[in-house]
Amino acid sequence: MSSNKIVLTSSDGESFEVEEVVARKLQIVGHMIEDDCVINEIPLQNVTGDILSMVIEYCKTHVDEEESEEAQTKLKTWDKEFMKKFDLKTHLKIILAANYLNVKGLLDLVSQTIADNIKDYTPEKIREVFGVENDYTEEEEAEVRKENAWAFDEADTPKP
Amino acid sequence: MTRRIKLVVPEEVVVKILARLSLTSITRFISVCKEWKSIINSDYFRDQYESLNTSSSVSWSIMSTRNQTFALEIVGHHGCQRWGLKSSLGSYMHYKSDTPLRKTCVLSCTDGIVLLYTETIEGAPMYHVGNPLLQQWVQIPLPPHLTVFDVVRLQENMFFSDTGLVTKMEKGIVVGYKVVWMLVSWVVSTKLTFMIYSSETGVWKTENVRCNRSMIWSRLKYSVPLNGILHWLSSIGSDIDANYIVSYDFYNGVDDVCRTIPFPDFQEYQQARCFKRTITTSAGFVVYCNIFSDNGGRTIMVWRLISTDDHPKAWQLSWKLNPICKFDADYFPVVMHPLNYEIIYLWSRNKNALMSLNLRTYMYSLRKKLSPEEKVKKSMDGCIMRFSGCKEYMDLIYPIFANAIYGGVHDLYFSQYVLPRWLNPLPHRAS
Repeated sequence: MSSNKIVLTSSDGESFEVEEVVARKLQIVGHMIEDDCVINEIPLQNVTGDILSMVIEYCKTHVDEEESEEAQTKLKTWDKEFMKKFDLKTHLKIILAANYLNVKGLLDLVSQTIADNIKDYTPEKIREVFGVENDYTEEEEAEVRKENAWAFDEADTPKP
Repeated sequence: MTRRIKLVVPEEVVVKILARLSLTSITRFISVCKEWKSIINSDYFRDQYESLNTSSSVSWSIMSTRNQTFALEIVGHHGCQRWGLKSSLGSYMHYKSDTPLRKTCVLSCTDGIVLLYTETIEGAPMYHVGNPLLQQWVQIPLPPHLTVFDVVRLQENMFFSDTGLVTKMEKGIVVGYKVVWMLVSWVVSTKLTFMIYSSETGVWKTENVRCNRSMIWSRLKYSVPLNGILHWLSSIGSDIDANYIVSYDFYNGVDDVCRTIPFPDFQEYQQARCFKRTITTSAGFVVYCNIFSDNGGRTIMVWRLISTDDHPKAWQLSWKLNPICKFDADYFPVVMHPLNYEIIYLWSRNKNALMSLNLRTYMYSLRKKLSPEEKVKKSMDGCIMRFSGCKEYMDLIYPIFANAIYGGVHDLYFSQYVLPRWLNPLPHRAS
């Protein structure tokens, strides 16, 4: 296996030197390598250094995906612990990065983590977290809420 | 109005997150903003959702029909991941009326929609079709040629049934339904009259159909809907207990003839008569099950309906457990698992417990009634089983069961409410 080193540079100018196999986990980089438009340094416009380092940490851990059940379980546990380290805001930054860099495994992992965290949220809380503006008029919103009233029974009451 | 703020999180990422939520959470998040609403309502999102959620586990309930004095729900199985509901489906089976009601009963359930019958304090009958989860109800008008008094009189008529509900499905979503009333002129007859209300036209129409045999119509009140076809119980010969089913396809019927199909145990039943039995649907088939008592031993047999031939071979024998000597108690077949054809639920009076039995592996578990303080045990698929209504119901019907030999009450019938696999609003009439 090639032990080429590739330097990934974040939007805020932080550089990470990683092995090619790790960099290839970022499909965006993988495609660049296949298209031969890579020498050894890749600027990544849409991701900051702190988030890029997390993505690289994930890729390093997942670099050789072993088939054995034991290895899989170990990776799953690692994934869980890895996700626990961050708050929802960071999860959202990671998902955006994983989407941009196209890291399939990480994308699945962090989508699931976010889904588990937000499942009992109210729409108001969702808007706050996702930075979404409510573009319903008051009447429209009341109407939508009424139509879907059954889905609110459990969200609005705090858990015992 | 132009949208000023763009989503920080792009649509493709929103889809990825939402597709991992329960349908309950997804429905709640329709209220977030218009963009989320259009994402959730798109076919693309549904495809994404289906590719991620392949589990067949879906919440369901077994409802008692025509019974307003007991809990409507006999067995409830809820908490599946797909819907993420925290209460059982039975608790949704009511219609919020402006006027007080003296009676509410579930007449039939199919494909996630319900035919509900209610009576006001004054005794005025009302029929609603609805999606109980969404609390969407449409009142079905009474047939224009009948007055309220006519309807009340009809209900008292032994040869009348108002429990028919059939659906037309497209891609797993109900796109139309029909409410079917049935009337025969006399206890033995070849002729039937259907009064059919269609959601597509919004009007009632009358159809006269016939059977190729003279049937005895003593068990009309219950009907089993499946794929737009209704199945009723009937009998021939001198027997008033059910030994035939009569079926009619309300969406693809090509002629005005009802199919008549004898029960698979037609021959044996004539002689022995010591069956307990149930007819239900499971995993897309009409399923018939009997427990045959013989010298203390008991045999469970389960068939599914595979054709419409007027022959016992229209049924395919799927399971035969012979004899179930391990189970010395007296078991009543309650119902098949609506989605898993290998599982049957039986009620034991001696043990006051519900047994779920896997007919392939013979694995079984007994569930006793839980006191409210006890922690609710979850089944393997993470769902919660409730069956408090089952004991009450069985205690109620047992005397009839035990005493009647020829009374035609060897049968147990329930209606199953199974949640659909997708958000399933009630079809609107094209206006």
